[in-house]
Amino acid sequence: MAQPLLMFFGLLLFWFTQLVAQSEFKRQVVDLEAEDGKKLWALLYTNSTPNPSIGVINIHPRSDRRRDWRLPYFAKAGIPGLGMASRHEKSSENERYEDILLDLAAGVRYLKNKVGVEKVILVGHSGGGSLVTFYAHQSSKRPGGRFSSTFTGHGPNLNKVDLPPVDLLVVSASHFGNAYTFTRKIDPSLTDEEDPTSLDPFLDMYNPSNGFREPPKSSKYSEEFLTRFEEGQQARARRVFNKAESFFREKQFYQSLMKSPLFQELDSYEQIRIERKVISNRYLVIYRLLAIPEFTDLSLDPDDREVGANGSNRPDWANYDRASHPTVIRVEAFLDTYSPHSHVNLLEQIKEVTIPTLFICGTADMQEYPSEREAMLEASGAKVKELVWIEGANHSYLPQGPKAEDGKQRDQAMELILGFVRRNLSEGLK
Amino acid sequence: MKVRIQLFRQVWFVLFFFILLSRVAFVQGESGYIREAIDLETQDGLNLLAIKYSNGANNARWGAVIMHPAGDMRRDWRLPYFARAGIVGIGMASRHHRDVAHFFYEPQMLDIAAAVQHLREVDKVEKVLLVGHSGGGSLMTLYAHQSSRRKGERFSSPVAGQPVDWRSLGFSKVPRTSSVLRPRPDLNQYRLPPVDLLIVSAAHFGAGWALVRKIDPSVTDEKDPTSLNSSLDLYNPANGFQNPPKSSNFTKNLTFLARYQEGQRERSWRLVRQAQSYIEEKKFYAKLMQSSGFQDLPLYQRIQITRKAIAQRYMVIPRLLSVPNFSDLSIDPNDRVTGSNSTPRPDQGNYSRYFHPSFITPESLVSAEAPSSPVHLLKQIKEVAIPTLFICGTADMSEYPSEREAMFKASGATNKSLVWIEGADHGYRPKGPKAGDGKQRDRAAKAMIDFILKAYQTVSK
Repeated sequence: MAQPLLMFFGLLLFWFTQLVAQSEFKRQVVDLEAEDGKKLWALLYTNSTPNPSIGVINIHPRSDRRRDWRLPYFAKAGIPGLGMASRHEKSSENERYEDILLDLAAGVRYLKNKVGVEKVILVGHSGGGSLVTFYAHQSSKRPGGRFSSTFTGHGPNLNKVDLPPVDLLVVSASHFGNAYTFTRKIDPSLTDEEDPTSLDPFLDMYNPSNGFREPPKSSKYSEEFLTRFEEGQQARARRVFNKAESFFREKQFYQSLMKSPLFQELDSYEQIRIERKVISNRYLVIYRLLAIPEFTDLSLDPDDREVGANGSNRPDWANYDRASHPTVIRVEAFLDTYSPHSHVNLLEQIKEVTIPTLFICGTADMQEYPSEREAMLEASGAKVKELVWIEGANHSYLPQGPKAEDGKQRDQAMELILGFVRRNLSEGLK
Repeated sequence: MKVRIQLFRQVWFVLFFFILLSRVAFVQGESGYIREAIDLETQDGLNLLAIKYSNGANNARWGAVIMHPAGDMRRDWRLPYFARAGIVGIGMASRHHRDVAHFFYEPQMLDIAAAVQHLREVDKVEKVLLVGHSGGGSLMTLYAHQSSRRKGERFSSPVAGQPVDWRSLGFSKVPRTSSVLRPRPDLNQYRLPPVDLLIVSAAHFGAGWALVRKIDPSVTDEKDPTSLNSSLDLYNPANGFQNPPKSSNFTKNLTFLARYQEGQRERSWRLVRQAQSYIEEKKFYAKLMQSSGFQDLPLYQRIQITRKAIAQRYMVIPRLLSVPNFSDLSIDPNDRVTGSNSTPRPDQGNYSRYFHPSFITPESLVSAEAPSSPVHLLKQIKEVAIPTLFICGTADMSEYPSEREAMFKASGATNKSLVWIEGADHGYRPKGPKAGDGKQRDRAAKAMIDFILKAYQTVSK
């Protein structure tokens, strides 16, 4: 007797849960395998929208983006997203962007083949910006036109791997790449690489006689100091590059010795000892990597930021008390990823990236400044490109500083990103 | 009224039917188990991403936690086996995973506690077991030990001690993401929910103990990764080394192994003393900061003293893959082949590969990764009374019979068992002359599940 009524309620309930499911999202663990066999896992965010045609990937070279805050927003808008952690997660020890392109490619393939989307968006935040730009650049080239090897000969030949193309790029609060940022943030006042507190006060940006004021007060550096400081940064960076290169050349020397006739005349232990010189792993320890004058002098490249670095309101201490990539790194990874030999350079690669590109940043970001964003926008080779600012948003798009206001920075940022996606991949969204 | 109640009941029935349907679809889709990403909040405010495995039935009696100090165990091979057997399991990555440089055992107790609590509160399991594999064995034993003690009797902080007090630097709250300034937990201040069973799988006695076992004593200059005292070189043919896969013979020279082990102890403790001197120096300056005259100093002098108190050093420690048993199969014999668990050529890997702690802070070295560490499985296991299973493959290349026998003997459990999986390597994969039918993982899982399900059988209703 109650059967029809029961069916009715059942259907009502089903419809209702579907409705709720659409405005919500769910997470799912997915296994990925890169083309070189590296096994990874990611989180897939979806809602119940049937047959989604656009997907998004969020990835960073070192930080775990599996739970990136943007992914629920995308999922609720009907855009399934993969939050990834690269193979170099939490470790700059062996960091190489070329490897990570294979990880990203596995993510793109998963979205296209398993989730069934036609178009893929890449979101690169902070250090991820230069990574996704590098992917967009390399995947847009035919095999043969890509990088075949890194400077030290490590990493994959990108001409021999599948890098499926992507359709839209979001470059969020990014710098130009590790090689750029290394020289930007290195502390020139360190005089002895072995001693983390060695000091040339003349080059110390945290020295009151050079214009430093204790946070939260803003410092004021003179033109003359800033010139001296930047020259010092370049000089120290060069010293580290040279040291790394000399270690690398030493290995090459022994490598050539191994191929010489002399090597065959040696006894087995002598041969072993030469072989060890070739294979031995050397680490560089690079102290004090948090010295950017913009951290403390708010009059430089001004925006709405407060004094501090991302992750610390006392960069003067953070410079000493914590690791900042690449504090400990293999010589080869350093040369490939942080030296001028690195292939990754956002300002260069973005010129040849033609897919729709959105640059976005908070005006209260303490480590990413206006002039850099303007340079990116100008360099971009995309026909459709935009630069948007989120007022009072810090590096994580959380409210900070004098313009923090109502605190809805994340909502605003996502509204702008989703608007850009709708306008430029419109056929993809129903 | 009666009709309405009945109707509600039927609506619930329909709802239940839908839920069941979706569950069943899931379970069948992934060969008998489902995975769920979960967020675990630790008592000191971290939020860890873990994966929970279950068969979807929601009535598990047992819950399992698998964690390793540095490895990502979120997709450990044991979890699907457990789930299919009705044991819900949480695979974890600790707060220090992939980051041995900043590793301490004590804070990781809070990571494990979060998972144990989740199993009890969310999954309503009756019993919780811990699985510690390899370097996780001493970690899980430590948890079983510490959680069985009352507050006041637990470790109060790592031996490197509390870091510089952030209050002395003028902070009103703990500064974010600072390794030096973040307080290290006094385990007496936290809840460590007790556990009911321990599985110690292919484990050594602790990271500090393992350092002495694996360190290469032939290094003469820590700054030079190829510096060499050839008379202490394990991989020198004159000392009995033979190229793998041939077995070496280090006992033909009667004094070599004794000299070698002495050299290993000496180099390990030299590193400890070096690390301690760095820590002492920081403490000296931290103490200066507390003295009354400090505030009267000019700003730049105060800044420079503060830097000396907080500066984070890293030590690079080359050549950590030199266990004689890798190459000489006659030492502590089992069914292994030559090689280490990470490479068939430890003679080369010793030079070319990362092996923890290739680089590390002095604080973590002294507290966790050197023989100065208080964490030692043989000590702690004596006071662990819950049912304990020791399990290992006979073809494991880094975990040897005598160590397992010592653990088993030291164990304070009344219900304890030592199980060998024939022809299984460190990952319970088939290896060596006894590889046989290749079903080592099936057998290892069965041994574990049998032990678990029998453990409290008599008390269960």
